Amino acid sequence: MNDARRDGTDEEERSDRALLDAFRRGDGDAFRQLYERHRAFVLRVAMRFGGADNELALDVLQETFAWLARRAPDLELRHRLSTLLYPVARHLVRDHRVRRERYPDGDGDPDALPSPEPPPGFGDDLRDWFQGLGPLQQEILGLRFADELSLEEIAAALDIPVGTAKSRLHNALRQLREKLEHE
Amino acid sequence: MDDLEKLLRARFRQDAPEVPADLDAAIVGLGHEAAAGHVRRRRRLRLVRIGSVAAAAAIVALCWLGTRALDEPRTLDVADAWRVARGLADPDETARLDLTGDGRLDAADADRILDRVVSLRPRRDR
Repeated sequence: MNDARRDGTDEEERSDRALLDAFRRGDGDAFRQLYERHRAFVLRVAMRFGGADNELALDVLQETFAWLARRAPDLELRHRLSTLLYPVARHLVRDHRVRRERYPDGDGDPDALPSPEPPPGFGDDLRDWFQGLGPLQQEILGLRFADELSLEEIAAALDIPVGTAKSRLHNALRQLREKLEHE
Repeated sequence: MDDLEKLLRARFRQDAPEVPADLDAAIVGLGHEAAAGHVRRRRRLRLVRIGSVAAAAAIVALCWLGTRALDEPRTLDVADAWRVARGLADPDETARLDLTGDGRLDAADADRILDRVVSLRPRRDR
């Protein structure tokens, strides 16, 4: 990923904005391009928060883009569209949990925002480290390494200061580095 | 990017489900409808795809009453159906499914529920 893309002023961001503008003007094909561009991102987020549940991920995918179709006229795009889609997808996972809690087959607080789960590729060592982090750090790591968002984009997606995103990421990596050095 | 970051990028990779072609088409179609100023069908799409309570109730009713089978099982959420089945023990839930209002759940209710689900399908799927 180049620096221009990371600082949120790249061609892709402008293109997201241009596509959104075109969609607002009645261009349905612009919506298709936005969908195809961000489909994988939404699926990854849904899989991360939804316990790798394929069906849930597909439901969240549809609902996220239904939200986009409905809310497009009101959206203000400052970064890539993924920064706006992220909280929507995350909340939709929570909504699914609430719905399931209505006819419960498990435990847990349905009103709590879900936390990302350790990726399947994590071994026991990394899983312990990941689960020892706070929820915000876990989200930052997912956005950084699974979704390859810049710090500015991570801050926008999570609605936190860039400095907070940077320090939490730095601390998480420092902990992991120290852990690996001692093993 | 140092080795640690490379390690994390590799370990964070996760397989995502393949999106069925009809779902892709439905979502893209949703965009075209919204661009044209029509967004009401979004609701119908969602109800069918997610397996709403109405759709789940239809499955439960159909399974329990054995009246007929749906031809598109992929659109139905079996997990929700199971939860509704448990919910049927709740008098309020039972009353809600009693669409004929005769105080019991029977084949007539199943037909009504099925009609309701079918009416929610996007036209292209009918």
